[in-house]
Amino acid sequence: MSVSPAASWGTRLVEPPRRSGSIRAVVTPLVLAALAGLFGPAGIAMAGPEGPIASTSHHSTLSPTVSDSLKLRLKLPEKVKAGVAVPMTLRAENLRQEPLDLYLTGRPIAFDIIVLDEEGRVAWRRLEGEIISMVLRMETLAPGDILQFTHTWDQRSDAGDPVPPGTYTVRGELPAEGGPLVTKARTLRITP
Amino acid sequence: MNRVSVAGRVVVMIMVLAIAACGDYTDPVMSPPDEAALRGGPLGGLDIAAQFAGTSPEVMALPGTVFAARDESTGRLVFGVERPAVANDIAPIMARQGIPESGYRVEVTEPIRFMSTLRSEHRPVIGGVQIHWSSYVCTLGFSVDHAGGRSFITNSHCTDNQGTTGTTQYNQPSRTSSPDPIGFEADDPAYVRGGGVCSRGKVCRYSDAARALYESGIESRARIAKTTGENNGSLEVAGHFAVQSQDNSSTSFSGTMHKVGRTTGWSSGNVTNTCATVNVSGSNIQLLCQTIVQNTGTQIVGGGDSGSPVFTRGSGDNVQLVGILWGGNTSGDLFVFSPFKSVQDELGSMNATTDGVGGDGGGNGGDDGDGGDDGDGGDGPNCPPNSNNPACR
Repeated sequence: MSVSPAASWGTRLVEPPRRSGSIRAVVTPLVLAALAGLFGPAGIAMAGPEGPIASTSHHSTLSPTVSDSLKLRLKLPEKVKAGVAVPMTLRAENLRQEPLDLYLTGRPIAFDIIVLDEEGRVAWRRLEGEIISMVLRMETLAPGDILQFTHTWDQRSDAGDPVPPGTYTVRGELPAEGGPLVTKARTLRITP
Repeated sequence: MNRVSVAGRVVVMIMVLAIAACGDYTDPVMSPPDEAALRGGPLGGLDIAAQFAGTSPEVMALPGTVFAARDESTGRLVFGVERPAVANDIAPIMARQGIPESGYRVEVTEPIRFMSTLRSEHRPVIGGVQIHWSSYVCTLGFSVDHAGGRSFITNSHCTDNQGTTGTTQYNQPSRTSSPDPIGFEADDPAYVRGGGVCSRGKVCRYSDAARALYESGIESRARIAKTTGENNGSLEVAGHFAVQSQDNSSTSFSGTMHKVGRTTGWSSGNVTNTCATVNVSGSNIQLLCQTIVQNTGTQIVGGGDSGSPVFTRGSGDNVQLVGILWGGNTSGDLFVFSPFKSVQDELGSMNATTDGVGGDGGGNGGDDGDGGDDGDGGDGPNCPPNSNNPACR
């Protein structure tokens, strides 16, 4: 069976760039044991391909409500000048001592970054108006492994206009089975 | 006068309660153990556990029995049956074991079934259920008769190499639970540039569809799994939609469209755009003449629904197949599908309204005359007779 780089297990995955951003995912060997024995009698909710990760399964999968297993962080400068491109990095790190299964949407894996103005209105959203392929990817992170996505925001709104100087709230999201994985909000000051 | 009346009412109520309590006590279900039942016959003198052990295997072998249990509070055996007539079959067994009618009771109850979901194994294979390949999960769209052999259709992006016919192996619902593959990728046409319609820097097709050839002997039906309700998020399979017809000619649609997928189940929405050019996020792929369906505020699509069959409803559970879902927005209230006509234009003529078996018809093998050497195996694939695994051809 031939396997493409994008679908291979145990290889470094480099996804194609999107707009001005790029996705770089450090992929670990898929732990077969994580898949083994998942499936019980028909109809019983299970984790992974057999069930939602937010199910009652005891499998070591990630529920959006579980934050001690996964460190999801959005990295960006605290302050930038107006008109200067803003590099943003979304990092998902496995904090556990055992492999962690993530079930992420899209091919390539979709990630979102949302910028809110001081009134809480969406000034820009990376996936605004985007159509993503609705495939589900099983990604296993070994202990300490990091999945990383990068994007450079050109400080333009969804309408394409430059956003005014001010204080913005920024958060990242990873669409996943059971609901998006969401980072803590970060503050970005755009100065004149 | 009022005082007397109230007192009288209290007395009457106490009497009613007492009578009711006595009535409860005389209820056969609540009566104490029948000593005779515990002592008579071959099992006489044995406790209820021994009675249970002595009778339940034989009783539970009867057609229509649902459960056997011990009611320790009454000292009786309890048998659940699907219909009253089954009790007539139980009576001789109990009599033979020396257990009188008062030593057991029979209850009519609903049969107990494993709950089947869109993520369960389905044989024969039907549309709308989960398939697993490599490290991805998608939905099986529909099964078809095709010149290349009995096949199923899923998305082009649900293959190892999108736009290149490869050897993707599909398991249903997953490789861990059902290790034998149901089929292998057989056709995934290339995405092409230019042509006067494809935008600069993009590669295009009219359908996000690929065909996989069923493994020999795998049965499939012209059906789509039907869950417990529309737009209720349920994944429990409660029946089937019958694919009565297929739309071979339309690329423009209107009205309500339905889909069934392994993540969000049976959902529906209204067509908002038709024959639209759609770019796939994060890629250089552009799909031409697609249809967009929306149900604002309701989740009708999620990761894993790729490949879902899209259909319109006729009378009852009869449906017309109109396309295959491949994408959606992040909030999940909008999905995009490729018309069935475009799927056929790119993958060849197909019939989605018939049942079939892998290995029937088409050009998928048959000659197994000289392929008998399966001696040392090595690292090669496990090839059953007439396997469609490309490595076995």
